[in-house]
Amino acid sequence: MVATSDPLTLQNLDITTTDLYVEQGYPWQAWDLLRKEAPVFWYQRPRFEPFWAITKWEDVSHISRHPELFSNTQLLRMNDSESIAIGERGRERSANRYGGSPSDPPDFIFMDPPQHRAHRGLVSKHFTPRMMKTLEDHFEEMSENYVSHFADVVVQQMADKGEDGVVDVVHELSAKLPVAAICEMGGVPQEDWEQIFHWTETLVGASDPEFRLPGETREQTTVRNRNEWNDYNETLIANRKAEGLGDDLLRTLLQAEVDDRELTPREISSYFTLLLSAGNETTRNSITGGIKALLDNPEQLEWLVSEPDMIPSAVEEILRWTSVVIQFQRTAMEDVELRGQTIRKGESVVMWYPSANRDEDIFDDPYKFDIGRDPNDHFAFGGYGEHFCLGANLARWEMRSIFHALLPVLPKLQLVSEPELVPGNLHVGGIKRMMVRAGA
Amino acid sequence: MKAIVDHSLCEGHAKCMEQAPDVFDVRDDDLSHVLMDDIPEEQRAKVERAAHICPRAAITLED
Repeated sequence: MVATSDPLTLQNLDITTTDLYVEQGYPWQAWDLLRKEAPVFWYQRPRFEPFWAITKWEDVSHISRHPELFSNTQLLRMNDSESIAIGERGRERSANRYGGSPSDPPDFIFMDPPQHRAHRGLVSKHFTPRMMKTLEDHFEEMSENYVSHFADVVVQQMADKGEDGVVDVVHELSAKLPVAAICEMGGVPQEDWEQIFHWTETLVGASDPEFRLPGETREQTTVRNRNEWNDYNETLIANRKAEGLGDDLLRTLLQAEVDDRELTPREISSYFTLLLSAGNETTRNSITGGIKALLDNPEQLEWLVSEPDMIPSAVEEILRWTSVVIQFQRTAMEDVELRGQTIRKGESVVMWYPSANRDEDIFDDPYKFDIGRDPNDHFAFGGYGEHFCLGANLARWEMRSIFHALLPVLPKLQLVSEPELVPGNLHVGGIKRMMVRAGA
Repeated sequence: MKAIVDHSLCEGHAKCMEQAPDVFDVRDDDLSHVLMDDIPEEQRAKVERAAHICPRAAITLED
């Protein structure tokens, strides 16, 4: 244990204990120290396989641009040994259910080029700016509805309970559009959206006793959740095949051909799961974090209200500021030199995106929330290259429409408490709850 | 200067077209097309910036 009075050093800094994230937020000071003193740092701590901690923008960029040197096929999300063991047993269960081998890639993020390009390319046309423009009006309309519902709840709570009339932003607002948008794109009927939201919430929150049934272990929660989701998925696909294919992501997956073959049932199921959960989890947290950032910085909010054309720029700053995805991992395919350190073939590198997004060599005054920041080459969607977030445009368009609809409401809100983080997740900085009320 | 877009990477994010609309054109095929073989010197800064911020790192430049 490190006493709080001990100065932070390379020997005692901790960027992997999830409880610390929940108690203190992201370990900004530890990342600052790493960037300054050891930007390519061999991190060894109990319960974790050692890895190179990569904390500077340029190095994250280099690794992301060179998938031939840094592979996705082995470890992808750095985690403690127990979580990795749970993940491996999950692969075995998946192979038992769908056939294939536990060593098959769980989804296409675990692939390198050229295989990765072929599989990702099957669905990428659903996420282009051109596609998003066709959905723009629809997103605007949905956002207006969700924000108007949210505003009604806030006002009603205040009328009923006065100062005690607090409302949770996550469930009453932030979660709604991301679920609706990705479910619509995926062809999930509206009556199932609530259930889908619950599954994706549990998928990342299984470490949290709040998402478990009484008596369940974390792994049992994960397995139950996965089984329920896979059952649902199979029914949805069977219905779709019987009733006509529609015109959406699921149709694309069902009709897809790669290497002169159709996708396997396991691939269809895992790609669909990937798209629905990734499309859900991250954007919700960016919206919640963005609301907090604007409420914490009233002069920036005032600027945005007076110049709504700043919304796209503000959204980029919210993405940089919140840095919802914490890290991804790669494995060196050969010996690589980086800032004078030799990364040996087979060793792990972990890219810490929030740290890259505060890199003083790239961003002026990185700890200032500035909706006018230009340029703003953040890595909220990962480094530029092979694995750049497929849903980046979807997230951007959703956030633009939500913040546009929120502009008249935000100045009347008051933050009641700091966001409560989802425990036990080292990959996504999930916000479980954030309470607000009607302000002065 | 020449610009080459790797169409096995390009997904039509259109960041290049925002930076240098005279040089890059993203069409209905969701791919960025380079509009000129020889890029004039006055476009250099914009085109370098386009290559730098391409989300898929799909643009290479040759002098």
